[in-house]
Amino acid sequence: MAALHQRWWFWAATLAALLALPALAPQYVVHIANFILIYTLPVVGLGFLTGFTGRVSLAQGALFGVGAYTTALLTTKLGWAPVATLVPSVLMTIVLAVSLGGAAVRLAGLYFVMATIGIQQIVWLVLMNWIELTNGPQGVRSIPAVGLGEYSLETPQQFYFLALVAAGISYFLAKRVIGSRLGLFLRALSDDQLAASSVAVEVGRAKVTALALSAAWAGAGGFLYAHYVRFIHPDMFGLEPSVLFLVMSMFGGYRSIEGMIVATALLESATEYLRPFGEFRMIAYGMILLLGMMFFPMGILTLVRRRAGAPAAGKD
Amino acid sequence: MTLLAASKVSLSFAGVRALVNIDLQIEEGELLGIIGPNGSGKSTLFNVLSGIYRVDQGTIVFRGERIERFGIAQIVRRGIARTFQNKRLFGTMSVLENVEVAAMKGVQGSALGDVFGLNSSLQARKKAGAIAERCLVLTGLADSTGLLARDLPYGAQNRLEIARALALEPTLLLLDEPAAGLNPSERAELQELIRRVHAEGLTIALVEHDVRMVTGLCARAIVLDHGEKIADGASAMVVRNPRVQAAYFGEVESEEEAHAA
Repeated sequence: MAALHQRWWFWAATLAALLALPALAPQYVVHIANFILIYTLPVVGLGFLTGFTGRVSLAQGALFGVGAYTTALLTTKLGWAPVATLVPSVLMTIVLAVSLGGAAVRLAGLYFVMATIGIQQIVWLVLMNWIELTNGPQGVRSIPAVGLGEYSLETPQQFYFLALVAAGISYFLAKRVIGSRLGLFLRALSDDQLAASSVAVEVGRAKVTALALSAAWAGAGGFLYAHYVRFIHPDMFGLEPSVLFLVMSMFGGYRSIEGMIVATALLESATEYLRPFGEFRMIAYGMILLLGMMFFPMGILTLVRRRAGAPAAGKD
Repeated sequence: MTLLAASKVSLSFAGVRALVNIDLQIEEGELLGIIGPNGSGKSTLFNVLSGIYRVDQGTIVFRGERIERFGIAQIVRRGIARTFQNKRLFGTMSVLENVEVAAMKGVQGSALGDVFGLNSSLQARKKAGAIAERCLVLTGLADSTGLLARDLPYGAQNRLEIARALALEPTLLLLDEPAAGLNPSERAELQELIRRVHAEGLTIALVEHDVRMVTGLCARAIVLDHGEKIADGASAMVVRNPRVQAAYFGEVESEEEAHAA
């Protein structure tokens, strides 16, 4: 039996459902769907580090925030058009990630995790305390919606299509990156770093590139987020989103971009049900991560693949 | 012509002398055997030549260039490839991908070019694929390209290590105990493979515990003991050297083996 994801009608139906969603679903569902689409960017970006390079980062939420703050400040303080701030937001996030984490990503895994917790704290502290630049605890208000010509994407339904296209491009590009020689190098070095060096892989450079890419995806996600919620605050980019993205990325897939996207959808929807837990949601995420790693160490999509008889970890 | 010349190479680990004043020449086109008892420094020598360890003293000149301070990737780019005694394959990658990673060394283009489908990158990948395929055919792995490396039988993993090293298109190939753990028929196949690769003009240094294999394959051999080179010459002569016998062939059984070869 061919696996579900190998049948054309599966993809056609998925696409049709995605396109029809804002017309058919209640606004609240579209709103959740927008968050899911936005979050797929930092999650997939983090996947370059976790799944493909074997490096766990707890700074993805902060990098997401750097992207969000860059566009928020450029549009509200300097009056830039939102579309013009996408590239600066991505670049800013890359520069920050590489300058703060570029040295650490070359170190052994545990040191890198520690370093990313540090980066997470530094970014939060700067956002909170550099009041002249970031407004500190006041946050940034009245971030403009993304405009396309005369059209302004203000309602969840309008924004949905931008988020869908962005998530689609992110997915497509991520697949290309993973299929590129860089993807091959990253998988090689996460399997055996010494062996990778001895087949001429520039291990350090490959890891820094993976970090830069994961930051680029986080920055782009932050850009979308800022123009969707239109009010941002340092606390939105603390440790919680970092943990959330990490859980989504790891639960979803060991080297499976589709798995990461599915996990983002499942966990973000579940977040709504976890709301009664309030602050204890983090414990619930921890439990989900733990159970996921116990029962689906290669990610949730192994369920589908196992039934299709395909190997759990492979190129496709 | 001398391809690689190491002179007075020494290396200690926390006071334990692993290599002591080693002088070693590898001539272009030769198949050199390196033998010695366990712990005699054979693998350490390879780790030095391939940049995993830095020497404390001494120089290593490869094709006229000093390489003793170079890193692993730098050395492999100069043309020295190696295999590992305890297999270091990319377990979660396919057989083909294992070799493709190495074949990428010799091709142009960049990851960014791959992502955006630039023609130069596509050509480069095609070329790497061709190199990989040739190496897999040569090592008899052409039928297993889609398997994950970790799912291969042990003997085939051995050959995959060699295929991966060959895909680097090296000038000098270092084989670190490639026959370890193989059964007699796999051993014979491996010897045949080494002969074939050597016949194509590749210079090879072979670390091996099995003396018969070395005398059978290599015209010249050196013997290490306690990190010192104690013999260097025609392999059939070297194994008869009394000092070598004392260090290496302490047991009667292996002495007979050596003579039988």
